[in-house]
Amino acid sequence: MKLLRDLIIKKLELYDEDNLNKKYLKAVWNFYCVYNMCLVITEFKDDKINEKNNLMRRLKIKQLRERISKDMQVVERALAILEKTSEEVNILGSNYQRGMIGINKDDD
Amino acid sequence: MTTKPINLTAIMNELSLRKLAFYGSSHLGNDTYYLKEFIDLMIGFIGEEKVIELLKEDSSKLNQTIGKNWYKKNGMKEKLRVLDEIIEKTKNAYDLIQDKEILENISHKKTKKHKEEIKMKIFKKRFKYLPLIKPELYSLFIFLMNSTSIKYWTIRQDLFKILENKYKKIGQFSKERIGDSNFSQRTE
Repeated sequence: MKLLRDLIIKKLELYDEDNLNKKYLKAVWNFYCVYNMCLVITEFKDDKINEKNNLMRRLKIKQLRERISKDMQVVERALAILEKTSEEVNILGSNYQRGMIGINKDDD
Repeated sequence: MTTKPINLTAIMNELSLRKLAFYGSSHLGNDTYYLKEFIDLMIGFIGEEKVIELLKEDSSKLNQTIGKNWYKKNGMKEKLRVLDEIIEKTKNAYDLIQDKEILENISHKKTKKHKEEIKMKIFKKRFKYLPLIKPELYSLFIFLMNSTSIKYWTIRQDLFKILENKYKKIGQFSKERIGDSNFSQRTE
């Protein structure tokens, strides 16, 4: 689904931007928003949800940041799934197909 | 989701895309506020009973349990109501961080460091109610997106930028003009 993919990418951009500006609380929040969506897409079960929620409540940002690299694998997997599904959906119907004569390949 | 998506009207499309764009460009509880608004908008349009029916028929097990336990104690209806109350508190906390004028009104005499401490204390107190990871809420959010025609649409870039440019001062130097080749000619 392209719409969901756009939202995830926008949130990841914000995460990068906040990290560069050293706004780590916002960066962590943005990342875990993405992580929430990715958990649903991949149907992956995280056993440490309560632990992470408690860390956020106590604003232990450093400890949460350490977990991001591991959680990023779920995000990568979800993006791969979304890439596949967004290719399948052709909203313009059968009039516009890939490899058709007279269609510029750059439009894909 | 195997059934045909529900068609939204043009106004509903625009409204929901706006909510999604605001959700994408905000953070720290403010995004949850727009997420909740999107969910409310969709449930209002589709109808609560129809949403429950669709949830029960969905292939995802999580969505099926949300549908079955919708009206039960600790079900989704109750959770959404509690979330409303939490958002009310956290959104104010977020505004406190963003809007420096509120902070100025707390005390005029206190030092800058002391003001920061007050701000953080209020923020921490309100922020702790809002969980970071909430799979059920996001499952419902993605389900509602998936079951309507909105999934075929894309969000315009200018919608994302409404909240980003909110705090920009009027008359600020435009960065775009630096690279503009006509800029030097115009000033001469």
